[in-house]
Amino acid sequence: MATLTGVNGKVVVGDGPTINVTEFEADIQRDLFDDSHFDPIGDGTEGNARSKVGGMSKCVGRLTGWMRSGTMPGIGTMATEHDAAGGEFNLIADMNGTGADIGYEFNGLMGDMTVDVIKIGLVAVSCSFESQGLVAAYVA
Amino acid sequence: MAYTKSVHGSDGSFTPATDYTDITPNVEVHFYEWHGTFSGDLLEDSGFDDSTNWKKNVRGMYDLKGTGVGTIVVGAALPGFAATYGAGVENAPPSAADFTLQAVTGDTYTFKGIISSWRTVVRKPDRVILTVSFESHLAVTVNG
Repeated sequence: MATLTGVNGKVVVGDGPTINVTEFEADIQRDLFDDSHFDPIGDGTEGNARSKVGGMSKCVGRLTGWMRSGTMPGIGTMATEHDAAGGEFNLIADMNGTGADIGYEFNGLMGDMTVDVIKIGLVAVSCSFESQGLVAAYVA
Repeated sequence: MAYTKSVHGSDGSFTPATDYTDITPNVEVHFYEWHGTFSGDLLEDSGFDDSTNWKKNVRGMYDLKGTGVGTIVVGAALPGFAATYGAGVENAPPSAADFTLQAVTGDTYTFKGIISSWRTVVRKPDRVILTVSFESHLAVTVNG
């Protein structure tokens, strides 16, 4: 099998800006808690090595690309105290490479968005995002 | 003194669990780099009974934290936390996920641990790079 490259990648953001994405980062994170304690119940935690336990998870990341004409990028759907987020994110690393598309699928929120305009170059756009709820394997 | 030489990374390896596929089903990763940091608490133990003005310390608790970096093979899925959350859930500590970090044959760190992050970076003209972050749970065995 060949090493996965970004050539056949794809990004779909259901309720966000329309940009030509060239790069994405997706960091699936889990909280970790220090569970170090005395060992009166013989659970093997005596000694000076820290004990850990895992908590909840989320996906945070960033999209980077170039602005498309006719669509000034904006944040898109954001959750409020009255309504939950509804923007579906599809981050695909390989689209119909040697097998089924592979990526992540989740509802999410966009955080900050930056637009950089320089006279001699393309207009660059980048934005951050965070998942809301389950992050699943992408299904085409 | 016996002759010793610097270690080259060509014999290194990184195994983020004894049964990696339980944590990341259908993911094939070719790791090429790992980083590990041992951190231990130093507790000041200076007392009036010591007439010198040099501080004294005692060692407290320690853990090992680090990252592994690799490429992903086409045809595999992207990594994430499996339904059982793999190594370590909020209700139970990890029980069977032994991490093995090898610098050279015979020189290893072995420990149970928890994966705290899967970071996937996808750039159109480049390979897809995965960075796995982890922390040790309880004792770390050095060289064996």
